[in-house]
Amino acid sequence: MRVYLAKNLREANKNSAADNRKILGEHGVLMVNMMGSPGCGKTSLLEETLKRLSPKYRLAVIEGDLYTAEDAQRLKPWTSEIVQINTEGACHLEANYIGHLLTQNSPSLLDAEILFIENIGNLVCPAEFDLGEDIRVTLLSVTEGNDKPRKYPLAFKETGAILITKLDLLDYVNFNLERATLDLKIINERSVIFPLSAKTGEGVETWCNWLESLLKKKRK
Amino acid sequence: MHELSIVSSLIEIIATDAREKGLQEVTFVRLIIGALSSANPRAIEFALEHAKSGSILEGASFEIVVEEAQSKCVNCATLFEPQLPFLMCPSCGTPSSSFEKGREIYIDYYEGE
Ligand SMILES: Nc1nc2c(ncn2[C@@H]2O[C@H](COP(=O)(O)OP(=O)(O)OP(=O)(O)O)[C@@H](O)[C@H]2O)c(=O)[nH]1
Ligand SMILES: [Mg+2]
Ligand SMILES: [Zn+2]
Repeated sequence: MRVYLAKNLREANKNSAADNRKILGEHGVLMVNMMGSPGCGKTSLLEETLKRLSPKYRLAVIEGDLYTAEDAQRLKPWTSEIVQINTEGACHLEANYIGHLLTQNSPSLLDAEILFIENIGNLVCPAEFDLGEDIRVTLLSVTEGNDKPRKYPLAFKETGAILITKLDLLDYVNFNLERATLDLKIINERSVIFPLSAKTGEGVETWCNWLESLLKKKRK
Repeated sequence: MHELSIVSSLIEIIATDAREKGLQEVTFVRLIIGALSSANPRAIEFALEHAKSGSILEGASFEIVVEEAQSKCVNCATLFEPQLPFLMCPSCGTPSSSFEKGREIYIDYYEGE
């Protein structure tokens, strides 16, 4: 016999993401899913962000990493609410891992006002998996080159904010900020773009203010 | 390499459905992979051959069809095959349209007895 299913293989992930969104909504937690290439500066920016926001807000972090807990260690000074997920080679986080943490292993994550997720360093796969986040953020460092938005458009198309990082290195690399901004605007006209540097702190305040405004909107 | 997670969810969905219908074995599966789904058909095929052993799909063969992507212009509603990165509408030139087809991976049907 032939059985027509027309069943989407990412449906399970979509359902878990919807569950997560509901739980986060009930607790008023703003979840921020951060993705970008290996070494684009996710953890460095999180350090600077937590440094600025932790005096005012309860913050938590889920650190996705293939094998190590090094990034989680770097964030310890700013919050004790850090959970490490080692994917043992898997290239992205999935919504059911996050759901498992929220409902079973680490329900105290729901006491936070902002929950950051550092996704696995990868510009392709994480974009395919909704985690139930309120906002998806894609980082692009100036050292990666101008062509990355054109080469990996899907990572930039389906995101709410694009952070152009390591701005302090702009003079040393042939990254054309105007051209990149233009390309990004064409690929994703809705996204906001923040150029910034975790090293000098330039632009970090603006990004933090934006997060605060999202949080206020959510908890209103 | 998220092909493995796609494949394990395929096997789980079909195995559950086949068991509910009282089938003994699954012989054939037709799978549709969107051209812009970020999954590689060959890698899926390879993963399937490995993952099926020991399951109700052990003896199954697979047909994998790549579905062309389709976009709809946000401005003039023209349907067209999108060219990355800008997804420019061929009739009015507006960029950044949404996808109608080609981002998903789904099971069309399976056969069993
Ligand atoms: N000059 C400069 N270097 C930076 C900046 N941000 C990060 N870096 C450096 O870039 C390297 C990678 O930074 P991380 O923050 O670890 O990057 P990541 O994206 O978390 O990396 P993975 O988690 O391994 O994918 C480190 O050597 C940082 O010191 C910046 O704003 N300016
Ligand atoms: Mg990191
Ligand atoms: Zn058009």
